[in-house]
Amino acid sequence: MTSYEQSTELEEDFIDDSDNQIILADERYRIIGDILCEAYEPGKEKWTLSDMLDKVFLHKYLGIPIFLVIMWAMFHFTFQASVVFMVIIQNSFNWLGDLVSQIPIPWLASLLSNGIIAGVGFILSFVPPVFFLYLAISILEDTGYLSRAAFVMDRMMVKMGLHGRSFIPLLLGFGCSVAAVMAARTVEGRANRYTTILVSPLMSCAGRLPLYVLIAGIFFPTIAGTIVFLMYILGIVMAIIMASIFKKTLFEEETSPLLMELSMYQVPTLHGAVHHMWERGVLFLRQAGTYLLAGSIVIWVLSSFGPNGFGVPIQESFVSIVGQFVQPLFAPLGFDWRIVVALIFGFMAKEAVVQSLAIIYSVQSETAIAASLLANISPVTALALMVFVLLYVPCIATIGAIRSETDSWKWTALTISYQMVLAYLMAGLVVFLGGIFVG
Amino acid sequence: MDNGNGYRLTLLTAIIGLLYIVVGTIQEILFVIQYPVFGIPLDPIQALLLLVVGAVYLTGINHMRIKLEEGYAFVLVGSILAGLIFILQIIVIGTNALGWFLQLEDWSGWTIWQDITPSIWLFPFAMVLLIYAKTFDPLKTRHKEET
Repeated sequence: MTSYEQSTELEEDFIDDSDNQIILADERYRIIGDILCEAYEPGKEKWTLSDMLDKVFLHKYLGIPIFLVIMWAMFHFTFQASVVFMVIIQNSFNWLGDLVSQIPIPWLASLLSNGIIAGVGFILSFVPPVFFLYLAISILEDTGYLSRAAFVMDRMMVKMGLHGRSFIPLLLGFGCSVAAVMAARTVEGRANRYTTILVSPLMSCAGRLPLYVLIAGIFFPTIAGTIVFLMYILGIVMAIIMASIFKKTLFEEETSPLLMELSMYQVPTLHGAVHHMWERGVLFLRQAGTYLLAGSIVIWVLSSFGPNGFGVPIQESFVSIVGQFVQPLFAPLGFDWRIVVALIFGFMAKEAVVQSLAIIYSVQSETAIAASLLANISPVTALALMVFVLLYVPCIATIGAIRSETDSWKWTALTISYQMVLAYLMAGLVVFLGGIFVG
Repeated sequence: MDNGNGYRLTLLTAIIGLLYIVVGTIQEILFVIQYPVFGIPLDPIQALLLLVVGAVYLTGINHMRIKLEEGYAFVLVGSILAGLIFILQIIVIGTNALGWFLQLEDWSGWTIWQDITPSIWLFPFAMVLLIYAKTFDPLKTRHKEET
């Protein structure tokens, strides 16, 4: 039997079994090795452009610093390039809000200006950073660098007892946590797969981006891009630390080498990158037009109505009653009841955190959200809020995906609980350190 | 390729690598002492990027001593990174200029000089190195040998 026939036979045996893909790849490379031993005569070394670039991008010591430079560039671009477009969109919605507030029916004027425009309109102003982030990810994917990033991180992850392949689903988590959880299927071994699922929600998804952009832009305007970048890095670091803890406590050690095919580097095309950006970004627009719109109306109703009916002061509204009931738990972190309410709504979707804050502040006063936040929270609390939103419970869609992928409520409950505790502790640490260094 | 040209490439790579390292270090020091200088804003992360670019160039020198073509890979990637942070800064200038042009409130006091960073004025040096290093491109050399 020739090597080719052996290879074809193996492929037929395993073609329907995704878990055996690694065995298939191992066997394929063994056969390639055998063929090369028989047919290849070593001659003068030939280099391709990909070989040259990999020599440096996959360098033992330079690989990770270069990865960090590229990541920083991605988030700096996301923030800095989008700011002006965000302001233009915000100004347009402010103008529209002023226009509809002239409607003579008070409840309708309030619903449209304080509810829908302040909520959905405000969240739509974050379309530029979300689209720019997806554009940057698409370009990195199309060049072939993203798979190299997994390879570069493999060394660090293996040192911590993890599987390098886990980094690919984690990278997908920059777009959406649901995609990251689903992609964990490709990770070899139950322990590795479950660990990846458990830590995937720690990777900062696009839904959290509006809050980072808002807070960093208001409280740290000169280094906003860097602050956003650091949030994403913190997500990666926490995911690696937690995965390492899980592997040492919940699962038996299970390590295997990372085997992946690295495609050749390519120059990305504008059409391809824009197409990928649109495919992913349109989901954000769809969310804004459907359940974020519904959420806006719910939040407006809860903010505008209280036990005494419509038009009560915000402190007597239903949303305030709920927020003030839960707020003492978050008092050590410096979060007031408005932030607590926003975090509760963030459980439905992370975009709703910013949306809720915008509506509550809009119903409360005529002041813009930026001025209201500056007046109500300190920079340290703002940073703690960013860290809390990065790490606290995944959104409801991600919880559904975790339940479906693990087929267990136990693992789902564990994910929610550990993330709450982790978020609280890390935000508390920010407040503690801020108290020491800033005062 | 003769040793003289190889020596010149190594020397040029070392100079440009050191230039990035020195400017990155100065930027870090200026941040620590909070002393802004024209063309070097107080940004510790941007300073780290310059240090990484410098480190890529300087690592290439070690490889050039063994095999010049391998060193070329480091010059190429160093220049890609230098180009990346340069283009990024150009985009920042472009969007800020748009805000200023549209007379948006936050950009009313903006001037182009605020956005001049080392990534901008160091980039021409990186380009000179890349253009000179093109002579040693192993892909081009191989192609010539084959034809």
